[in-house]
Amino acid sequence: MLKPEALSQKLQAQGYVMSPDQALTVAIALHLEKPLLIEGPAGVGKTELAKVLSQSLKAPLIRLQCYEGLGEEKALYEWNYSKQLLHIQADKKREWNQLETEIFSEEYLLERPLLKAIRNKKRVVLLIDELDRVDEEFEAFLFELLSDFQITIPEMGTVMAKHKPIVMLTSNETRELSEALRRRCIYLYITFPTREREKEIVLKKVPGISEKLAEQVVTYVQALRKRELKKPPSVSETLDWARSLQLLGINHIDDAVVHQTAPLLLKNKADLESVHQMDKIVRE
Amino acid sequence: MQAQLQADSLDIFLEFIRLLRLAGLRVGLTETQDALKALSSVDDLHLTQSALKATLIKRKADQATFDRVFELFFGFAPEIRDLQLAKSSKEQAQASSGSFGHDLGEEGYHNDAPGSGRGSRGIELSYEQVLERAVQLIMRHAYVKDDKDNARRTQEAIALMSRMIQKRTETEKSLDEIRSELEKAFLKAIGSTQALEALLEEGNFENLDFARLDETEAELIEREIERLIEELAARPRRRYERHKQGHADIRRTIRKSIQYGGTPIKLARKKRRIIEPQIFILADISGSVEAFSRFFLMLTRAFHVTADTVRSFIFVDEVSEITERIEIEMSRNSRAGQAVEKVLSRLRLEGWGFRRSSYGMAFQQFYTQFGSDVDRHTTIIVLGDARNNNAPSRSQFLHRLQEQTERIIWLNPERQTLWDSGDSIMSVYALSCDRALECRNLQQLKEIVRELATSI
Repeated sequence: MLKPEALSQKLQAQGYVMSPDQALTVAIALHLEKPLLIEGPAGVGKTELAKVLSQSLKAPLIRLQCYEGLGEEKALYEWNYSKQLLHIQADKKREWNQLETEIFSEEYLLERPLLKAIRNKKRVVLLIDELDRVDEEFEAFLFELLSDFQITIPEMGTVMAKHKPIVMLTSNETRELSEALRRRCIYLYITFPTREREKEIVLKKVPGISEKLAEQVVTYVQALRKRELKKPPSVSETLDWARSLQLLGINHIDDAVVHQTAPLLLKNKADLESVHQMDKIVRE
Repeated sequence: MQAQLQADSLDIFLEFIRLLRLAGLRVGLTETQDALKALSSVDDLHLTQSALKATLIKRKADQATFDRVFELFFGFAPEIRDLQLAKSSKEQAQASSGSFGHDLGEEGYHNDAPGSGRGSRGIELSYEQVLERAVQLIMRHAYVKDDKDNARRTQEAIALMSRMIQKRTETEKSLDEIRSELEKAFLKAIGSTQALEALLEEGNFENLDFARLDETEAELIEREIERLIEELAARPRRRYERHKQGHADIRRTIRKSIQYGGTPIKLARKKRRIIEPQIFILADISGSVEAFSRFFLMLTRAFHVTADTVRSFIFVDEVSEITERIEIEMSRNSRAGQAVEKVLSRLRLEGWGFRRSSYGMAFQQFYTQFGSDVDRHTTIIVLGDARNNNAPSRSQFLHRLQEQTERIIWLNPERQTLWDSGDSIMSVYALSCDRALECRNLQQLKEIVRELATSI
């Protein structure tokens, strides 16, 4: 089994900082060859984990972005209708039986992410992103893939994975995922990092930032998260803020700086206003 | 994989799984197997906890429960095994009996108080000694073996003792800390997994009493009820198909024959009379019953699986129909709990919170106002504790309703042993009900609702 510390170091080399517990969970999922279900608020690095993992394991990343109404033909495979039609028209003399086998062959198959992940010659990281956006029927459709790593195409038979892909599913918890799906996965909950860890991330991801500024940035963001906001600033927003402060050559945060750059952290008008108001009260 | 774990530790592991389930977590065979595989590759204790958590727990809400069970179980697993051989402590517990509250009374607390910081002879006691005395007291007065109320009483005693220790000693520990230390000391003294089971079962939110929930527990239960709603919604609905068989309809057969020049080619059949089941929910929303009514009203939409009409009414001393209000709020809010809460808070604003329940008045009004709407395909579900504030029961109205409807089911959120105590007149009303059931925790609610959803 891949040692959690080794995994953690590998990911850290790619700029991803994680806690020992998280590293252990990922290591177990890899060891057991089971899908990893990652839940947590938006912007804590769920998708990032998959990307970094694919880089450090040197396995290509195949991503399926979920959205409402996503169906089999966009997720799994589709027949290339126009090409099939052309083939039939070009070859009018052929027997239908023969034609049929011809037009339902590899050549006319359009691979979509799931099939692509299964048929890839190398081991891949398959990222099924924001699974909570699709309905339960689609979830159920994934079961065959998640537990047996195989997909059935009626015209061609069952396709088994050559190399079991590393499957990662993410969810922002807008909908409760089904028990059956959870049972097939190893579960990882990622929440906002602690102060120390977030500082580590900022230092790692924003090269050249001074320790003092990083400290101030993280302190302010952590304080913001404690307030009741519609959308608390995520880690990626902390990084954006730190980067832009550095670009602007600011190395000390005061009220004026916060006032001017707050839109980088808060993407919601009501949140912005409430924070400004709070600050005003504090100042007075 | 399993071979690497010694038979002895496998036993402990399986015992742990059993306790997890007892604490209300859903741990399946797949999870157990995964955990064993993961265990075979770690040996550090902290890593073990994380490894087990990673493989056994599949939702965030369950993580805290897991940690609690793990700490209690593995913190004491060695002692538990050793102590199971030495029976002395168990026998000691068995020898004494009697209810904790009654025996000790107010006086008992003062004299024997574990938290006074002083023994009866006025000697200063250390915090540890105080704990020890508290455990002795609990063992002597609350923990009675082979008693079905054991868990609840022990739990209550522990809660009480921790509060006293906090008040009477100069400790800076928080109540939760004291409580968990006391729990551990108690388990050590009892030295059996039985006590652990008792604690876990009580902590399992499926068994929590609706009347005594804190905010997070209520939230958890709402989540569970939402899951129950989804489960019910996934069931096949009742379908109406034109019947292929049935009585011939002569009039329509002749009408149809006109298109074929008077020859009756097609036989028309009489329309099947469609039975339209109705559910009427009558919910008491006064004080102690409110929490239960709120949970149950969340289910109104789910009952559409089996009934065409679901109407909800609330009452305290008067009856008011809230079907429409609930429908409106349900369509505005995605979460059923929020919808019901909005309706109820509006009702509170309208002054319903200040009234005293009168079941008799409510039934009389319901009968006169809505009695004509119920038929023999109607099920009436009454939610309430039958605490009538010593007013006349007017059970004749409930009886008349029973005669008109298919059945009346009464769900009482009070423990059955408390029925008819004080101003409760449950048995009077139970005579006019087809069934009167205790429904005071999630487990019972789930059972009853699942049965209702299939049988109506």
